[in-house]
Amino acid sequence: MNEFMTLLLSLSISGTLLFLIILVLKRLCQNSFSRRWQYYIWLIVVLRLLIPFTWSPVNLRSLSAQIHTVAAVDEAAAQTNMPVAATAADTGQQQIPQTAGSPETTPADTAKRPQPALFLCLFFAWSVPALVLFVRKITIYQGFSRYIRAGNTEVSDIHMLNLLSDCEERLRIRTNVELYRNASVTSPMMTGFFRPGIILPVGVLDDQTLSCILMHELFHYKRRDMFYKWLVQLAICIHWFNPFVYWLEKEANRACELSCDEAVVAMLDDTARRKYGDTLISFLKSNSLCKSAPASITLTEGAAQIKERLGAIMNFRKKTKSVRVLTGASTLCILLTAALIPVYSVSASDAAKAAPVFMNEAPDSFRRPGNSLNNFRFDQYPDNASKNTDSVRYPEGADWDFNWDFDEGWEDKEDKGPWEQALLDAYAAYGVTFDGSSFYYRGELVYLFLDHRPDSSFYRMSVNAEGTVSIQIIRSAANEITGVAYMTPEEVNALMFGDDLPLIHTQEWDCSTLSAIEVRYKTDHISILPSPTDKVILKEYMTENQPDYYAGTQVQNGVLTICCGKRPANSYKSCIELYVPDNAPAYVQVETVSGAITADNYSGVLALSTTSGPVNICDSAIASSINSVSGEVTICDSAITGSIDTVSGRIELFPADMPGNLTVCSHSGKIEACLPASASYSLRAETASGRIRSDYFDIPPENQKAFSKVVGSSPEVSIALKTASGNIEIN
Amino acid sequence: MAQQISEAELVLMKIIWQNGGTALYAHIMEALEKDGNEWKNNTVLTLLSRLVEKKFLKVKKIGRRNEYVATVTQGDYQALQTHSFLDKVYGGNVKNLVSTLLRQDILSADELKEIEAFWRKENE
Repeated sequence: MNEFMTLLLSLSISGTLLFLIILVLKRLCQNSFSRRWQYYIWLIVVLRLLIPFTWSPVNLRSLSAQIHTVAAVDEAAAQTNMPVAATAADTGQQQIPQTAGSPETTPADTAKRPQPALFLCLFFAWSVPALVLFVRKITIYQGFSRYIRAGNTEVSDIHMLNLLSDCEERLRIRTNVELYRNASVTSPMMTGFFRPGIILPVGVLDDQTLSCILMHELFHYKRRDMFYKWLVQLAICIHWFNPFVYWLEKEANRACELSCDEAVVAMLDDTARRKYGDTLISFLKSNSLCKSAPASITLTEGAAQIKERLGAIMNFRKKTKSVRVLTGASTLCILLTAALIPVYSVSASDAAKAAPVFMNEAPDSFRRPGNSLNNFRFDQYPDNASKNTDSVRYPEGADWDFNWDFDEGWEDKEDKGPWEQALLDAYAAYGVTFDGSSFYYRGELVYLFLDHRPDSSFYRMSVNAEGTVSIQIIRSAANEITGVAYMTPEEVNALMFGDDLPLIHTQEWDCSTLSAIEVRYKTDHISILPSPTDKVILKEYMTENQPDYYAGTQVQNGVLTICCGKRPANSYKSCIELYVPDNAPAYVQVETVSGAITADNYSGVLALSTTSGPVNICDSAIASSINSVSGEVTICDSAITGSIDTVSGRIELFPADMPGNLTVCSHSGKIEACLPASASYSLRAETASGRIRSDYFDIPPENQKAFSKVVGSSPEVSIALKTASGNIEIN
Repeated sequence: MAQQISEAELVLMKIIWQNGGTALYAHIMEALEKDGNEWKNNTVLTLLSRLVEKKFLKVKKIGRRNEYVATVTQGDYQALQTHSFLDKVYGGNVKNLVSTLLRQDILSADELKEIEAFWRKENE
């Protein structure tokens, strides 16, 4: 029993160590390794957690046999170190004279003799939850697959089966994969270990989308991801007491989808890749419209993950040879580490080595030669190591967090604690909270936080790219905090991108021959402005002047295409301004991943699409089609017609005029509309599970899901607001 | 045997029946090609395995090749389908079915007489 529990603990510890090592390694070289590697590397950790083998130059058993006379004494001390802190320490002390008095007993004997009842208790305390967890996981899975199987209907459309057949041939899969339709699933999934089946949700899919889906799911089957997932589940059941295994599960699941995407994308060309991204988004949209998504291998798994997956798809490139060599080398290192992290299984002397991680009592017992865990003692770190990490403090999640006082320069660390706390307390009094890395205001994560003196030196400024609101602290002339205010997008932009970026490159085109302008960027801020002349002007601002950073442009069939130039990996900023004449015949189409798009004082036709960048339109008159996944969309003082769609991005509408029909849809984002009082329109608001609220209209309680209203006489325009789970507010 | 055969599966069954109730995979593919059906290998395999699962077919291994054997004859299947059709659409009432057939000129009066004659002869 004793040996077993020790083995279990040491497996857990060495698995955790390996997990942390790999996690650090992955953070260090984020994207140089292929996703596939990032996926399978977790398998090593899982196996390390499950399989009690170790390879080490010195055979621990023979070593312990040689020193067993010495060990017999040490053993006694070791017993006090068993991880059952208090009780073990008590009983262990009584054990000392007994063991010392009988030096002829072998280490194995002493290991078995002490407190068998205690270890039995420990064993039960571990095994009962493990067993319950395991049985539960299996029954849940069975119940789920029974539920799914009941709704399955075989697809007998020959065309679809042929497509599946094509995909199987491309992936060289020999087994017959079944194809089902199921009304109760919302996103495609793969089931079955030995008789695989792909389950599609109902609905019409075009060929290209369908083959993307099939390829993705077939890859799951081909790589036996189901077995992998269950292996992880098994590790969780066995190591249920170790919080890191749940983290491991999360990481492995994420890596699973990412590497599957990578495999699919590797077989696609550029346009097909875009299509694949669209497919992901479309399933995200439909996914939570119906609320039934029990766990399995599904195609989509939530907005944040989709964002990462989209990024990975767009940034896909084949790995170079040097990267492959590097990958191979680090794999070897990790494998070696995995094999060498000792598993203390055999004798009780080994148990002593595992114990110090939990205990500080009797420290002398583990200062023995050959004790490898000595290397992990924290007090052996040089003193300055901890100080170093402290002084370059980049809080997780915050991009940068300046925290200095201009008047006095850098403050001494020692004195700053109370001073900083007083400041944070003062913020908290006005509803701004700080969690150690980011600011929150009224429950929302703050994008830009600013607290500055009247002379514009600042107390504190912090930026978090994930944030949704920007705020500044208002101070009186006497430097007292008097309030908190939201910052307008212009103020934020001026501060963030503002005038510091030098204008590097300008290009011009005659607009009379252009019918469309297409702009494709990833992270840059894009501003669309009216042109002062009758030409289309592109101005590029960037911190470094390199010709290959310039935008790639091209005019073909009257379409001007502007693509993002090269971008270095770090500490580089750039933004572009596009000036389009008001009377231009061209419409402007902008696509970006995470860059912001703003249109100011512009009138014309816009088609904007972004994954996570915010969209701001001010003082403009536009006919638009705006698509955003998680970026916020704000329309201020503008005349707007057309459509706005987001998945989780919040939409704020403060239009000055609505000359035509307007459709606003969001899946889980909130829609806030403040419609002009003078206009006449017919309004229709609908939400599946959100709420409709209004300060302006009286909404009866029975209309909180759907609400219609005609405003003004003879309305010619209709305004539609729709969400699945987001709230709608009309003011 | 309440299982239904889908249209595509029926195409395969017909090929097997026409071949005398057993057919090799290669023969099935050949026959499909002759009819101008562009079915992929895996498509056919999937459909065949569904039929096996529904117990309309059995698989016999001949060396490394599979031979598919029909467990029901075409006549049995037709009878089965007629019964279920009759139950579903006419509530089991044969008279209504026949009157529809006559009214729609699917069955001519002459043919009906022929059947009557056949029926009498059988019963003698």
